[in-house]
Amino acid sequence: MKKLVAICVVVVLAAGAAQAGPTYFVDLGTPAGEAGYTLFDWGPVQPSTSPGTWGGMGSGTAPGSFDQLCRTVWATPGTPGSIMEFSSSASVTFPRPITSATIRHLVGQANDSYVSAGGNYWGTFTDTVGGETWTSTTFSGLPGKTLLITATGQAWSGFATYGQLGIDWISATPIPAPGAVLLGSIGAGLVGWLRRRRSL
Amino acid sequence: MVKKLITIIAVVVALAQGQASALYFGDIGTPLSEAAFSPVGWGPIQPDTSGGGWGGIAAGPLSLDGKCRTIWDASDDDPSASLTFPTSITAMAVRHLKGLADDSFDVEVGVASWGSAVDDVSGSEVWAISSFMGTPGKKLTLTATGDEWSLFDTYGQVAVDWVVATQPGETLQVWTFDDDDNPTVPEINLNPYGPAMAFIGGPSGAAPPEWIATLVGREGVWTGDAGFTILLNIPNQMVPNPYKEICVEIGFLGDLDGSPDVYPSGGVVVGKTETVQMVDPVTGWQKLTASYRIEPNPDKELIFSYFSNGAAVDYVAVYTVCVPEPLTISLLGFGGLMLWRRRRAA
Repeated sequence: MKKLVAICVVVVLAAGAAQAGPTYFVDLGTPAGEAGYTLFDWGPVQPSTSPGTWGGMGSGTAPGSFDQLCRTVWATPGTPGSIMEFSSSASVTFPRPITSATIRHLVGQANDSYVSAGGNYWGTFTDTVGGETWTSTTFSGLPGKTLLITATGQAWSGFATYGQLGIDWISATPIPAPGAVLLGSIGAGLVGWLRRRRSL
Repeated sequence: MVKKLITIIAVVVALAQGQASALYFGDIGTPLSEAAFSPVGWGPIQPDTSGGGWGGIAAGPLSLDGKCRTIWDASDDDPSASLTFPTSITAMAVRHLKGLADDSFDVEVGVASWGSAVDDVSGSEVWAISSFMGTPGKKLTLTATGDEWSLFDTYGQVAVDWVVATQPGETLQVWTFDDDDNPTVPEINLNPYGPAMAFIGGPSGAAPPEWIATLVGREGVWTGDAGFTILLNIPNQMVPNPYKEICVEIGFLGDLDGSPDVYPSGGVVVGKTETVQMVDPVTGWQKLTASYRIEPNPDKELIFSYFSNGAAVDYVAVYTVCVPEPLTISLLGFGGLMLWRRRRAA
């Protein structure tokens, strides 16, 4: 009997944990990868709009990229193919608030420094300027529905053509759904109750 | 565009009378309101003096008092009228009648031209709200530029219902979504620090948000079957100040998908209040009122507001003020007290 109860508890807790996912994944530049998320202020799809090396993406060999496509956080306003581009920021609004995000970004020849915010300030990445390397950087902080990325460097010499701060994809962790919290609480309560009864 | 604007004008007045606001609001035709702004050269109170419809001002929801004055009338040859504010103004909006006459006029503040309003003389009578900004000054002068019309001697020319003006550090922007532009500038635009803009977007891959001419008694609304987000870009006074206050009001139908978020370009949001109020239980229109405090004041902020599937938004009003040093606040408060005392004495 004890064994059966323990199994039930594990199942309940596992179900609660499973409800906390799945992780959001925004693959910028690909319609299916952007579907379901609200995007504001993004540059056009690259390298297809402005061919170049793009850290290997131009030849389809950028490491860690699924679609070999990206968008820039900052581009000239009105650039064809951009998504309401008007400033040096870009945002993704998720269905639920997120608590952390991993951003795959190009540390390129521009000063691709940026700030990541999710309702509150989450942190800063500072580019060393030079080379072209795709890097994944993780930020976290107080929950927010919208992840805002702002390019903080000066526009570089090739800005008019290429824009600045290429982003390949963003992976984000949502806060647990209310149902998951409830389920998890029930599970934790059950464990506590069983332990008090010394049956677990 | 009826009920929505009742609320908006209430917002403007509430802001003008609120503690956080220093907006100037002059209700032309109401002596108590005008007196604070030293009116000169205005015609008599209408329609009380000459009768007539005056564009339906008595029944129009946007007029608080149902009264107005003209800036040019038969009592003098001067086609101008002025208001003088206690301190410099940076931007102003005026509600004026585009009537049967050529009701065009020029706007001047101090000695600087702020622009013109042009009447196309369409033969109809329509009240319009026009926004102007320019070099700050205290004295606002409106000058009629059209030729006298046939009934000038009876009615005068260029009727004005009210004027709202901002002081340095303040902005006021009201989006009524009169058309389907996206992004879109505010219909009442009192932001001298840069172009305020609203962007309406929905989830990629889903049907985009839709502008509808009329929905449940309101005109000009945005809705979206997949939910939608409105992003507001509000430029600020780029002068360091201890903090900034932001007041937001949104008229909406349906459900919010979470609270609005304010993203300052610098500083931290330290204070936040929000209330949701049912405005009309029959139609279901509600309003969200929120205020935020950012320390210190940022150069600009982005405001994201989220709406669930099938929700609709009728209008968005945003008032901001960068609050200067305490000494200046004390002086402003003192000035306000003096005005109040003068009004009481009168």
